[in-house]
Amino acid sequence: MDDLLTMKQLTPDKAVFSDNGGGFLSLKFDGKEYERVGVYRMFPNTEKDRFLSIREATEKAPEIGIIYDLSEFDGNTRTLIEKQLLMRYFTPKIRKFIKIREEYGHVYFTAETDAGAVRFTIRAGGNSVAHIGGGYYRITDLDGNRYDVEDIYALSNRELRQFELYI
Amino acid sequence: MKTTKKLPASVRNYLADAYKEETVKGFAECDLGETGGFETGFLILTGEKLLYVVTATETVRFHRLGGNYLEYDDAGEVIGAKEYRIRDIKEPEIVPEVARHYLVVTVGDRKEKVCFFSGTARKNVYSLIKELKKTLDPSFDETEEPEEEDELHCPICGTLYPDPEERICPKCMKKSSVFFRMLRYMKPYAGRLVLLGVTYVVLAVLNLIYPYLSGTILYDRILAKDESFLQFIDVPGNRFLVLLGMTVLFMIVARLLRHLLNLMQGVIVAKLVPKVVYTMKTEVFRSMGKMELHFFTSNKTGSLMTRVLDDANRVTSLFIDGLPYFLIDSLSIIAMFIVMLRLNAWLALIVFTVMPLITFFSFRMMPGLQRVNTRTHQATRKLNSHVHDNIAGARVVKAFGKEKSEDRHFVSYNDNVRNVALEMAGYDNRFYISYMFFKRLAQILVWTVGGYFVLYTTSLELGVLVTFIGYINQLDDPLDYFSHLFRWFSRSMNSAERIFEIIDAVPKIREKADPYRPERIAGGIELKRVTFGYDPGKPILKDVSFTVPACSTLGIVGKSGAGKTTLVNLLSRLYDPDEGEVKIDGVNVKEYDFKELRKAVAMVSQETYIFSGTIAENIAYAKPDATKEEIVAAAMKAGAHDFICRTPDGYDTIVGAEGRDLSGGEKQRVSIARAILSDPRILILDEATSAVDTETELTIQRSIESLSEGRTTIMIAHRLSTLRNVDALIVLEDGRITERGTHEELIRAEGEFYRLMKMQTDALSLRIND
Repeated sequence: MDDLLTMKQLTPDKAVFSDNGGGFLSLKFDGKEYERVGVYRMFPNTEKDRFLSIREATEKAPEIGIIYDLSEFDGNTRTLIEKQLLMRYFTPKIRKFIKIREEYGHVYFTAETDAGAVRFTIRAGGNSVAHIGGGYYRITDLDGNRYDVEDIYALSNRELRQFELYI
Repeated sequence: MKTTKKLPASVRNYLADAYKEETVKGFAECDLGETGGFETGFLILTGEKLLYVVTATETVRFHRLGGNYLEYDDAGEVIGAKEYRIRDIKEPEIVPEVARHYLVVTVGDRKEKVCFFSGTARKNVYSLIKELKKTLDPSFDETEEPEEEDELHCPICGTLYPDPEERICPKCMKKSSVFFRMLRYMKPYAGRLVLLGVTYVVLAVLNLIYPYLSGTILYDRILAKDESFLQFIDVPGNRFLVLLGMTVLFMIVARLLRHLLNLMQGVIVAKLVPKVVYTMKTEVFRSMGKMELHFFTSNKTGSLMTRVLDDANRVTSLFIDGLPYFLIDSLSIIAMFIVMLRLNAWLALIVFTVMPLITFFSFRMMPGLQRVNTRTHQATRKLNSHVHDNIAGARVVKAFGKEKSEDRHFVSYNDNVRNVALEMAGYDNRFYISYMFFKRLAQILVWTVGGYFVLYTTSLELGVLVTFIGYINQLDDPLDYFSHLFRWFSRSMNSAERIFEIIDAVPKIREKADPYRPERIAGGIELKRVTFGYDPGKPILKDVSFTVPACSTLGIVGKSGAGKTTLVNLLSRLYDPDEGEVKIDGVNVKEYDFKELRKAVAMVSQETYIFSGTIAENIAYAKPDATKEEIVAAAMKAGAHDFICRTPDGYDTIVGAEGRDLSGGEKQRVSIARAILSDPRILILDEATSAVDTETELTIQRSIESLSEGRTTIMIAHRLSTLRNVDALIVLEDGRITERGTHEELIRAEGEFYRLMKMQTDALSLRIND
């Protein structure tokens, strides 16, 4: 591994994560204590538990270090970090499109997700639906909320026909 | 350029008279006088002398149509001559003007213009001067390799290329040969094409039988209760009823079969077309990839896109959808003619005297049609380019508030498209109307004459007349089809020509047949008397020489347009120098394997390009198998890591045309990361940090310094402070190196570099004092 990367690496023996009690993640590393840190996925679509960038919770969010593999950490720390990730990367998975309607340049979706039913709007003809790979698509609505369609081929024919127009 | 291998007779005679002892070592035609127009002169090099002989002819012609080369049939008498003794002259030099170049020599201490010539003649004069320079100074260092013999003739037919730069032979692009070349693409699908052919033949036979069944058989044999026919077909029971049933059944089956066959054809065609189009597009795209940078900068994006995307479709549809019909329809017409002739010669003749008229009209309209076709294509291409420019340059258009004027432009382009479309429709209508007119004419004549025959003679039965009318109606499809075919054919051949133009274009910058593939490139760079210009006769770099030892850093300074970027373009062979050599590790870059060379040289320029894909893919562009760790490390070194991590999708963020828009500085950092990851032996940073803020610049600067260790780096910068740590600096002015040395040396010399440096520091202190 490149020296630069080794320098930044957070390992279980050097980095101690804890819950600050207020729902924030704290970190002790390299003799410093960070009251609140953020966990960023460097490859959110392709690496869920590897390449995690730990950053200070300030506006500029300078990087403290990198976790290359979360599985190196103990169960407790893993749970803490996974909680942060879930918080940051909340992306409901669409199970079913109930209704897709296009009108005057906007597309109105009503869908069932693993987090409950949602309604959202995207711009038609824009770049609102990103292809992640295979049958995996991500919808980003007008407000910046994200919804994943993990496999468009698992949709019913009717849903696929309607959704296809926007990918 | 076309050269006369021999001097004209008049000049030879003149030389024989005046310069008996001299042997001609070489000559070059000159085509211009000093201030006036054309004149025919010959610059002649003999063992002792340099002569310029002018003849009294004005047969020099510029052939615009066939290309810009000189040609003269026979030069007239010699009307003037100059001579220089070679040992008296020094420093021969070609001076380029806008449209007239001239040769200057120094005689004694005076400079003298010898002859004048156009850009067309320049190359030959240039080689002669090289010869002269060698005579003057035997140590004159001509570029080592023998000059490549330019392929100016088409390898197939030997015709001179109209434009030697493009190397497209108009003769071999003849429509017929284009047609047969297109057939090559169909070859892999021969089996299915044969099947398609069979369905067409069966269909044609059915078309032939049907009117006969519904006319002659039904009326004259069955309904007229023809006993001889009954004996001919031996059926039991209520014979005519059975026969009627059989005939009707047969007619139904024939119709059904016809529909079935049509369906089959549709399926085959639908499967074939995309495949052939796919092959063609791939080939066009691949051929385009081989072309040098110049090709892309000199063609409009929109028009190139039309070529890749639309032309292949158009051509293929003709071949698979159009041609079989042409064959079958022609066959049908011939078969119908024979059957009709056997049924009744008179009526058949009436129908078919009309045919030649139709052919005659088609051929008369053909040239006009083709002209309109070409114009249609041009108009569409211009419109496409305009739309493309506007979309790509939307920011500029808006920033300057130019929507209205762009709109006006668009309307004028759109007008053109509409007008040619209307003209096309006009042609179409004329075709259609004339076809229909002749068809109806034939029908009316048959009814009239046939009716007369049925009523007043015994030579024609009613059924035969009905059969005839049936055949004329059957002519509907073929005739209608032929009326479109001409237009279709000429349009497709236009597209095919354009396709082959790209496929056949020979890139100017080509890899050597047996290229040099070194195990390791150390990265030493040497430029030896390099002269280069994008347009002939207008050099951007003039006689530039320098060396950069492997693993050292060179800074290049100069005003905009001084040729800095051009210099580095020559290194990775995006262009070839007009004169001189570019060497890496002592080997001319022309010897190198393209892949090795371009792997060894990475460039980060002011113009960054981000491809559609994720950021990670963009960084790994030059090294697709890079691990994620490598990608992240490269981004860190380029100062891109932080901004990437802060985006919601991190390295998986989709950027480019269909994704997130990166800022100028972000793009630049991504492309620096790209260069870093490719781990080149030679790294060229062409104003690489011009679009980033000072803080990021410092980050990048630091990583570049660590990065330059162990590799050769060339840095081009406007901000001179960034060049403080380079090993050597050169200052370029108007394409020439005016100063060279280390930072300290140049400061001490108080030349141009010092002046620029001072200007920048002053400006900075002014800003601080404000």
